[in-house]
Amino acid sequence: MDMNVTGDIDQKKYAALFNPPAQHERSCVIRAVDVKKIYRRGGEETHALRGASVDIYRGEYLSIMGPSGSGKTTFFNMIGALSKPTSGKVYIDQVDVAQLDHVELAWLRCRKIGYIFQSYHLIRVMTCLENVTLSMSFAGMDGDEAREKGIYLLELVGLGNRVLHKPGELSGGQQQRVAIARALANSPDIVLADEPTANLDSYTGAEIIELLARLRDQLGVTIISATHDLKMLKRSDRICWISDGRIEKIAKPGEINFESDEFDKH
Amino acid sequence: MSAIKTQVTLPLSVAFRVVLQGIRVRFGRSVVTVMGVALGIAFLMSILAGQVIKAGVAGEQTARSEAKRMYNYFVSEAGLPEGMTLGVLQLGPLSDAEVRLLGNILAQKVGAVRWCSLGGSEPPAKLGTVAQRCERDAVGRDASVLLVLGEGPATPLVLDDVLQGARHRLVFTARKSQRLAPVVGGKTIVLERELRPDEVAKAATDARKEGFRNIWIVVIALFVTVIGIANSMLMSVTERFREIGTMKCLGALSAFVRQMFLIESSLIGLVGALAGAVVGAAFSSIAYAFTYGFGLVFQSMNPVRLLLYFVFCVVVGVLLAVIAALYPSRFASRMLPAHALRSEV
Repeated sequence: MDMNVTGDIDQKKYAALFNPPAQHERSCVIRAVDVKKIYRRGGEETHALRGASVDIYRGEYLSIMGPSGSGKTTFFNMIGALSKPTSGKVYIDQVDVAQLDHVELAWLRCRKIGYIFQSYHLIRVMTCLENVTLSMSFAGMDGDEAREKGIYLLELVGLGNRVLHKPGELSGGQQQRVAIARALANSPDIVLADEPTANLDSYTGAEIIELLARLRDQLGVTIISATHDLKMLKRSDRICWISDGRIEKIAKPGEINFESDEFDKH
Repeated sequence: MSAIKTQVTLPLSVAFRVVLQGIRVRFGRSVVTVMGVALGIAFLMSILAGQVIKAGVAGEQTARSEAKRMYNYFVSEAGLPEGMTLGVLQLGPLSDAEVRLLGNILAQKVGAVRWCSLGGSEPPAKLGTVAQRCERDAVGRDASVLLVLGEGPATPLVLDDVLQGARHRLVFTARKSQRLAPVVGGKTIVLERELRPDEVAKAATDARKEGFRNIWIVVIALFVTVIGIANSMLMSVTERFREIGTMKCLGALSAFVRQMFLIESSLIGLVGALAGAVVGAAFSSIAYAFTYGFGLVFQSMNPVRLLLYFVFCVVVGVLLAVIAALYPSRFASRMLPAHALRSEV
């Protein structure tokens, strides 16, 4: 297993390749206002979200948690511009997502947000490097420049020696690290992670959590993750508790008793 | 903070590169899809090639039996051609029936053939050494039979002068359209048969029935092909909904996704259709060759029609593959990424 993931990020090299986001302004990067989502299937309505509002600040590490079926993933998709709310507004960088056409949405997903999924969603037919550089080519960056940046990012997540491997040849933790490198490809302001550690053992999960925290600390990337993982919850700045389609509370990890019965219920 | 801008549109070459890479890596799956297309087209092509072959064989068999009948008629009037001195007066290019008749006669041990070609016409190349070329007035010398071949002037042909030194004043022609003046003290015989009105009517009805049946078979073949190809292309696209969703999360435009599938499906369609058309034509030819004999099948086949059907099959294959892939890829490219990622196939 590669253990060189805890090394420091070379700020200078990163800055040369990226435009690092402005450091820790207390500005709102995502604002959700009374977001509702109703799924209709076969004449039956499912209220996945019954009005969720939250402000997420730049450079913050926010965890979203809640029992399965609570609307956690739906909410995650809404603030990630992957799906449209039935009513309510989502602002990303003060732009109303509902007002964007599909070409602008593609731009937003490409440059502003990096996505990490529970089951990695790497493109199986491409090598690690190609997986990372694909989103760069969607942003118009190609050739040696993209290659160099891709290799740097893979080194950053500790996979410098797996650049030309296919995802199928890697372990789950390694694949998730490729996904993280890919999420950073176009130096996004926001990284959205949907249960990034759920498919990993606790040791590998801890590594991923550490890596995400380090990205937040050293690069100022906003990290939002839906998770059940205690380690991840403890590491985050705020925890957003969703239950039955509503945000029940938003609290700092210190204010929550993780051993309580109330916590276990979730 | 940067404002939202419009996503760049990637050049076709990027889509092409991604597609080729995909095909190379997913080679096994691509081969299966190609085989799906090839199977459909092979079926269509085998039906079409079968029709070309059947039409060719039927034509050949009719021609052979007609030549046989004319030869029998000839023998009944003139006797067996063995040892016979044959005078041939060629007025113009020979028809297929005339060549066959001549072939049947010359297959026996004919004594001698005096051959006169008029009006710049040339005798058939395989006549060989049996024939002696001569002038018009020498063609009838010692001849037991005079054979008038080819089409000459519209006015009745007077042959009395040619038959001056003939042994018998017996004249045959294989064409009813060639009019011959009555021969003094002799006989003129037209070998070609006049069809009776009921025979003509029956032939027309048969042709119409056959035509309907052929169209029906081709329509069914086309239908089977459409279903087969659509099924394999649909499978190959729908099983990649997740991949499409992932690409959209990374910032791919819907147009890029559609472009990718357009390129991929046309490549797969082309390869599959070419392979299918070759296999179908070969299968049909070999199958019919075992029934009718290799010589008959390959001699009588109409290559131009076969080639036309080949092109038709390839075009149909490519079009069907593209259409069958475009619909689901359009659907997928318009999906919200969240739905595409969740979809399970």
